[in-house]
Amino acid sequence: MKHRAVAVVVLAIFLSVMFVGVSFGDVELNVKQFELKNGLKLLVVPRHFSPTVAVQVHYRVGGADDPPGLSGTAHFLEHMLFKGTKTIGSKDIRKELRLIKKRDEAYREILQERARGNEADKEKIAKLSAIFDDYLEQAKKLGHHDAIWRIYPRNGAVGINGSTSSFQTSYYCELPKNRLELWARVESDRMQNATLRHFHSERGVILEERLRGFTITGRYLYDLTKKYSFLLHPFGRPNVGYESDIKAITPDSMMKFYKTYYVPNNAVLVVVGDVDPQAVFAMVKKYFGKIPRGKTPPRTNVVEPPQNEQRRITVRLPSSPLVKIIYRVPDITHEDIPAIDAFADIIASGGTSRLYMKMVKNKHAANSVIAWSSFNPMDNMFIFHASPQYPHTCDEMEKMMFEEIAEIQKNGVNDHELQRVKNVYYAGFIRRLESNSSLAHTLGFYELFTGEWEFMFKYKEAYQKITREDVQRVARKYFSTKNYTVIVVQKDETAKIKGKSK
Amino acid sequence: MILTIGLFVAGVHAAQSNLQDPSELGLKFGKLKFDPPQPLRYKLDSGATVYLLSDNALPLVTIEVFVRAGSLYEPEGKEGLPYMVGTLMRSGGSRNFPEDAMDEQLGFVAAGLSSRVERTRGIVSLDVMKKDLDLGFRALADLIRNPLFPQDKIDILKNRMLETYRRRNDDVNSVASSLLSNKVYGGHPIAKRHQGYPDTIAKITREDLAAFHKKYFRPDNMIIGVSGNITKEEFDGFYKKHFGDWKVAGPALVFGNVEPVKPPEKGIYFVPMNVPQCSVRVGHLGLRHGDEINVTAQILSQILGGGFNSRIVTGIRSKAGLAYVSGCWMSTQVVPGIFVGYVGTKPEGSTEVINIILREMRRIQQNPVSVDELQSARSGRENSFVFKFSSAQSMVSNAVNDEFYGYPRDQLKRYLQEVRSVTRERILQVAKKTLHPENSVIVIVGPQKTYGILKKEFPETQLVQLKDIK
Repeated sequence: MKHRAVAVVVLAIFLSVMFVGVSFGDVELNVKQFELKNGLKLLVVPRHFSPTVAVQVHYRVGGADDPPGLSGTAHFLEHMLFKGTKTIGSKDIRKELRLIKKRDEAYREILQERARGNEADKEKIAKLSAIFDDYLEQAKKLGHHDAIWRIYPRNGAVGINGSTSSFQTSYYCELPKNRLELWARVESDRMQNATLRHFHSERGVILEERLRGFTITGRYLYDLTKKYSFLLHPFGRPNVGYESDIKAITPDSMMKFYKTYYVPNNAVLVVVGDVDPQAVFAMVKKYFGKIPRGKTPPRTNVVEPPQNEQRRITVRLPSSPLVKIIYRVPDITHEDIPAIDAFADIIASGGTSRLYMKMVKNKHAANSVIAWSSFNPMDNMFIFHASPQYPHTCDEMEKMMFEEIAEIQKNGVNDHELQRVKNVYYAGFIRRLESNSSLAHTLGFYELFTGEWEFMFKYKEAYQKITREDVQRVARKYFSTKNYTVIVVQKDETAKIKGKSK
Repeated sequence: MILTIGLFVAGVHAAQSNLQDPSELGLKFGKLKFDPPQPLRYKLDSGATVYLLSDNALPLVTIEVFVRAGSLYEPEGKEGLPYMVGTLMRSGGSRNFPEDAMDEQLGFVAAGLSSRVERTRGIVSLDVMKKDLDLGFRALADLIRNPLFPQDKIDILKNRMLETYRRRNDDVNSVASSLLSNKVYGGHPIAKRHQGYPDTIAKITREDLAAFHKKYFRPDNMIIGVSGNITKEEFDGFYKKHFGDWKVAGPALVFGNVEPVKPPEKGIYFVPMNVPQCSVRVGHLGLRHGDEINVTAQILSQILGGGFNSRIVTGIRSKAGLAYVSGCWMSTQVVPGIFVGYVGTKPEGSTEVINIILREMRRIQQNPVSVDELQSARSGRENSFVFKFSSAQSMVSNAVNDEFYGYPRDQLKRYLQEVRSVTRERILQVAKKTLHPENSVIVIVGPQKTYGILKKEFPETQLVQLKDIK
C-alpha cells in the first residue's frame, strides 16, 4: 500500500509586466494520494466550506474498448450499473439470479437457432421465445428497475450521473458528508456484483437514446466528425453504438466485458470535500480492499494511420448550415499540446479571438465560430466550427478560416493576444477549483489518463510558458497539411436523417 | 441557523412496498449538524439592497445585480424590446467602454460581465479575479448606468435575432415546447416569444431601448448579490467609487397587475418534422409564486415524474423501454407557470406514452401515494437540504431570489419544516387541485407517419405545420 501525501501550493504568479503587474496571492490545494494492494487508486482533497463531499469512480474503459461488432457495450453497461447489484435492489436475489440464468440460457438457444439462417426451425424459436418471455417477466418482478437511482437520492445525493466517453466511464454524485460510507458500500458492490437485470428492456431505452441523438444539436454531428476523422481506430465509432451492434450485444458478451474492465487496478476513486483523508482511506480499504486485482485489461492495438487525403463530406439536413474543418494533432501528453491549445484560443475561442472578431463582429458573416481540440490519450481532432449568418455561405466560412490560419503561419501571433489567452487559461484553472465536483473530475481525468493528477499543474505551467514562436511553429507543423477533413451541412427542407435500419 | 439533519427512515420498510429493498444496507449514519453563515443584508444610501457573504478560499468575486423588469410587464407590439436592452447593454458598449473596449479590456483579464433581461427580471452579472476587481466594478457600473445603444449595434443585433428566428424550428424539442406554451397560454404575454418576431423587432427604436433602460435600471429597483473574496468595506468602497452618489429622481416604480391567464382548452396537436424520434408534451397551467401549496406540489411532481423511480419514468422508460428521456416538472411563475409531462420516443410508441402519462396523472389523483414514495421524496429533500448552503454564491443567490419573489427571510427554514410535515392526504388534495389530465394540451412533433398512428387512437388530433409555429 502506498501512501503519498502531497501538498501543493500554487504560488503567486506575476502576470506580464507590460500589461498587468499585480500579484493575486496563493491558492492552497492539499491532495492526498493512496493506492491499495489490488491496484485501486484513491485521491482525497479535504475542503471544509460545507459538510458535503463530491465522490467519483472513474474506470479506464469506454467506447474505444468495445469489442468488434459489439459497439455500444461500454455505454450499455453503464446503464446496467444503475440497475443495482446482487445485494442492492432485489426482492429475492437467489431466485432472481436463477431466473436471470434461465432467461440467458433460453436467449442463447434462440440465438443459436437463429444463426442457422434459412434452416432455422421457426417453431422451435417460437417455443424458446415463449420460455424466454416467461423467465424474463418473472425475473422482472423480483428486481428493482432503478435501484441506484433510488438509494442515492433518498440519502441526499445530488448531481447523480454516469457518463461514458471513448476512453472513460465515470459514476459520480455529491453527498452530505455523513453518507460517505453509503458511497463506499454501493460503489464497491457495483465494481464486482452487477447482475445485468432488466438487460432486454434497457436495450430499448438505449435504442431510443441513440435515436434522440439524430438531431442537429445532438450527437449526430459529433459522431460524424469522429467517423470521418478516424477511419480505422475504434474511436471513430459512436459510443452509443451502431444499431445492429447494440442488438447483437448479449448478457454473456456484456458480463465478459464487465469482468475484464471493471477491476480495481483499472479504476480511480476521487473524494473532495469535508473529510479526513485517513478516514476515507480506511473506509475505502474496508470496502474495496478484498476485491481481487484483475488482469491488465486489453487495449486496441489499432493505430490510426496518418491521413493522406483530403476528405470532404456533405450532409443535407432540414436545419441551418454549418461547416467543420478537422485536423489531426497529437495526444494530450505531447509537448506541443499547450501551444496547440493556445493557437485554438487565439484564433477562435471567445469574443475577442481573431475569427470571432473578423467573422461575427466585423463582417457579420457568421453566427458563431469556434476552435478546440479533443483531449484524448491518442491522436486528437482539432476542430474549427462555423455557422454562416444568412445570406453568407459555408464556402465563405471555409475561406475565412483558412486565411486566418495562413496569416498566423506567416506572421505569427502578437504578445497581447498571447498574454490574453494565458490570463484566460489561468482564470479558468482557478474557476475549475471552485466546486468540489469540478475539481474531482479534473483530478480523476488526469490520474486516469496520465497516471499523475499533478499533470493538471504541469499543464498549467507549460501553458504559461508558451512563446509566440511556439504558437507559430505548431501552426506551421500541424495546419499546413492539405489532408484535413471538411464536413459541410447544407440546408434542405426535404432531407431526412434516418435513424433506423429497415 | 443551526440545522440538524437526522437519520431519516433508516431501515423502515413500508408495508405497501413490493420490494424488500434493504435500501439502508444496515448502515448507520451520524447526524449532520451545520451552522451555515448567513449573508449580510443591508441597504445603500441610493436605495439598492445588498446581500453579501465573504469566502476567501479562492481569489474570485461574483456580483449579481437584479432589477425588476421584463417582457411580462411590457405592452404588446414591441416583443423583443426587453431582450434587446439586456443584450445591448453588454454588447453595445458604454460611455467609458465604447465600441469593443469592454470586450477587449475584460476579455484580457478573463473577467465575465454579462447582462440580460428575461420575462420578470433583469440580471447583470460580474465574475472576476480579485486582482481585477476595480476594472470589473468600473465596467459593471458603466454598463448599468451609461449604456450607449449605438445604432450600428442595434442593427447587427436585429439581424442576429432574425437569424435566430429563422433557426427557431431547427430543434424538435424546442418546437414541441413552443407549441405547448402557445396552446397552454393562448395569447398571454408570458408565452410571447421573448426574442420577438420579425414585425415587432423591426419596430423597436433606439429611443425605446433608452427609455426602457432609464425606467427600470435605477438603484431603488436593484438587489445586489455579492460573494467571494471581498469584504463589506471593500464592496462599499468600490460601489462609492464607481456608482458615485447615483440616486433616483422620481416616483417609485409600480408594477401593474399582470393580465390573468385563462385555463387552456384541451386538444391534441401534431407537427410533422423530418426527425427519427418524436418529442411529446402533455401540459397545462402550473404554480404561482408564493402559493402555500408549492412545496407539496413539487413533492407531488417529483413522485409523479421527477426522475428515476417516479411513476412516469418507471412506466415509460424502465418497464416499457419506450424512451430515454421522460418525466414531468411543474414550474412556478408570477402568473401560473406550466406543468409538463414530456417524452422522446419512436412514432410507434407515441400513443402508448401519452396514455401512460395521462393514466399516471389520474392515478395519483385517485389514491394516496404510497408510504414508501412519500418517505423517499421527503428523506431525499431533507438529506440534500445541506446543498442549498454548498457555496457562498449559492447562499447569496437564494437570499436574493427569496427577496425578489417576496418570500420571508426564513424561507429555507420554513421549506424544511414543510417538507417534514407533508402527508399523503395533503399530496392527494394538491394532486386533485393542480393536475388536469382531462383538460391537458398534448403536442407531438415527429415524422409524418406518426399522424396516422395518432389518429387511430386520438381521432381529434389536429395537424399543425412547422411554418405556422411562431
